[in-house]
Amino acid sequence: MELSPEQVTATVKGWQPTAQERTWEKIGWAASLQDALMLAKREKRLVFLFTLDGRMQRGRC
Amino acid sequence: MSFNDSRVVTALNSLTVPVYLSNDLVKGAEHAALTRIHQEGYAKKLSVGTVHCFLLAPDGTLLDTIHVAKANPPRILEIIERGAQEQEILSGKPLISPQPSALPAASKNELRLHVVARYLEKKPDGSLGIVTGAGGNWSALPGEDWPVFAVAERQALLDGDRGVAERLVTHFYPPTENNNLAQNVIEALEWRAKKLPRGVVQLSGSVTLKHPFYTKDDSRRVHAVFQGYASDSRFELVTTQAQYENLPFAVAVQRG
Repeated sequence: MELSPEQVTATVKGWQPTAQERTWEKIGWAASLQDALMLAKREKRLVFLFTLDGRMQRGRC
Repeated sequence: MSFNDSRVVTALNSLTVPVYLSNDLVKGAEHAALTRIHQEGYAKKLSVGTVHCFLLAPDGTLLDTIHVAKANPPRILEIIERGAQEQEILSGKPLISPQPSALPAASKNELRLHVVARYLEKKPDGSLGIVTGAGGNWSALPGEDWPVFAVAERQALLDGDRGVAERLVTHFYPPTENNNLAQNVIEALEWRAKKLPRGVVQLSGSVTLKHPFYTKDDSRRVHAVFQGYASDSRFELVTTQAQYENLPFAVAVQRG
């Protein structure tokens, strides 16, 4: 079945990441492990480190 | 993904300094620090691996770890709250302001595309729709990529150039643990570009792409059929049928 331009646009829109799927972007991530360790020591916070294959900002991990 | 749980976001922002590392980018002093954390984990007989969560005390001492497969919101909250109690951490404001994701640079004349690839699930009416409520497993989130095409490559796509199209369709796979594009093998590709009136190009085609789920080779393949339209100001493409092995998924491409 051939899709019209309008149908393609609507489908593209419907498959975009939702606001809920972008909640993780509300996390204030440190730029590096060294930055996190330094800041945690100075401000007396825990460090939460997540290591992954791929890229966080691409939702592929 | 557990990081989309609002309770986890609150705990990370108020009690920790959160940081993530892509394993292939870890080098120099950061590599040394990560190696020290791994060694401490082994010594304490904690779970250690490449896709893991690590909780450290303010002095950098390793407190706990979670394998990614077990990193659900309750487990993440449990170790943060216990760590905060033991270390007498006071809850406060985020120490770092959340920043929007940085996208690959593209000049005005280049074509940067936003590729979204996500699993689909069968809905009660028999139709396929986006996955909802899948928790933290692989099917829960879309994968995103932003390939950039030079001016000549953009034109080549619109002229039906199969070679340039390969660079786009190699992103047509749903979320997996393997994101090494060099491991993808395009076994078959049809890329058609039909000129329509008013400078519009109708795009269509299909691809068979071998894409291992993990970094170890396997026989999993993508079979996808797609359609779309492009012009000077527009580039939109969607799959009308796509499967990764026997799992349905979808791809949407637009300028981004």
